[in-house]
Amino acid sequence: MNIEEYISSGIVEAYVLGLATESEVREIRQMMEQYPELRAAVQEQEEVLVKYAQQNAIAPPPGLKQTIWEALNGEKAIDEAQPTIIEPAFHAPRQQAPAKRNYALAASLALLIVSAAANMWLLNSNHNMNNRIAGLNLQQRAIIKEKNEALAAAENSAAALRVMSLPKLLKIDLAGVGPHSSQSAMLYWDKSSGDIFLDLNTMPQAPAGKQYQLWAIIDGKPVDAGIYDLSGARAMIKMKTIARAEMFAVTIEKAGGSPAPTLDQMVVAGKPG
Amino acid sequence: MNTPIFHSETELVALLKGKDDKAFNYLYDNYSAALYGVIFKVLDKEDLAGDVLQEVFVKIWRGMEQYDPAKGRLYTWMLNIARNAAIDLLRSRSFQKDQKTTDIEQNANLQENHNTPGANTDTIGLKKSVMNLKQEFRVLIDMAYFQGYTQEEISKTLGIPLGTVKTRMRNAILELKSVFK
Repeated sequence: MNIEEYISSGIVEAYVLGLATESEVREIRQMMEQYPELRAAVQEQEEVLVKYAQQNAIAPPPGLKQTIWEALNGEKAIDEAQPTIIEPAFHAPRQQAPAKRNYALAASLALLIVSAAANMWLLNSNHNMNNRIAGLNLQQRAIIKEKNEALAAAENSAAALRVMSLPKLLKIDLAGVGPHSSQSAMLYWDKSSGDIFLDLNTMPQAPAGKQYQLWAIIDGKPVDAGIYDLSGARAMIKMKTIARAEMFAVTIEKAGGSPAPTLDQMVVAGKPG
Repeated sequence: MNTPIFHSETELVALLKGKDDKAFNYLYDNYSAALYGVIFKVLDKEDLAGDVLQEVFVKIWRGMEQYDPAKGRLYTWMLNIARNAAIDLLRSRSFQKDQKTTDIEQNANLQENHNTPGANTDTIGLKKSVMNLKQEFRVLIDMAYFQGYTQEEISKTLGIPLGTVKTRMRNAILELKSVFK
């Protein structure tokens, strides 16, 4: 297969525009795994499409955001209510539910779904805009629900990152140390890229003139993994990239950080795996 | 209130898969206009564009777990969802085949700013760069992307061989690229 010819054949354009046939899509995805030049060509065409879309962007009417927000909250209610929507009527959820959602809404939606079951179809066209609720993709949701059940732990709040579906993203709990034993933090580590995301959301602001600094312990030695700036309302900040480490720790250092950790200023720490 | 800043698409995708509120907020604030623009252009009118945009965000929410970054960028994925949803609606209104053909014939003979049904989009803010595209390319992108014609359908409607459609499509996109430089 001459990859140059393939790239010039127009299939990349068709793929990016969503115009390729199913077999073409399968083929190009297989090829993308083998040929980095093809991946690069796809990326290049995607940039073109993005620019085209941005050029033609039209701001939606302002009230629409709220309407859409409410629709997404409705989705959340469905997600957090009983696990199986297929079963008719309403029975107690199998897992201990977060219990903060509106069961009346979930129940009435479940009944509506069941009563409209005859009209439901998988993904494609013929979707009736007026019955958008009735148009829920039952089977797809059932599959997603099963997958969620298989993966889910009893996790907490909406701000927590649910990364179960990303097998390479490691979550490390950093527990409070010494006088800071009530503190905690979370670190997310993408082992394939080395990217680290740190969430110190529940921790207090660092004292004036000081900042939190992350350290990775590599071969027994502490290595600077970045400064955490808590001044913005950020949930999670990307730190430095670290390929491997035995342990992570956060200390309080002077603003701007320091080359070596002040060990008696360690706040939280944790080990991967 | 501070809007969170995402350092990379990886981070954004991770949070979206976790159904994080801030991430979805960010998505709407930064991407809804591009999506709305595509929907608008497909439907050629505003009245149902809002409904479609809502449907698109719901689809993004539901589909986010299965979105695979290895297959393409988030933006591309969302644009395709928006386009497909709008085209579904367009087709479900049973646009007459000859209605489409009329539009296309008129498009093919189109003068800039010609006042025909299919040309409404010219008056609602199509940017210059697209207007500068050669006629045949613009028609092709319009038919394929915004009206949902398959390449076979284009080949039949315009009476040109399928191979020519493919080549022309590629050239249309190359042309688009050069216009953006």
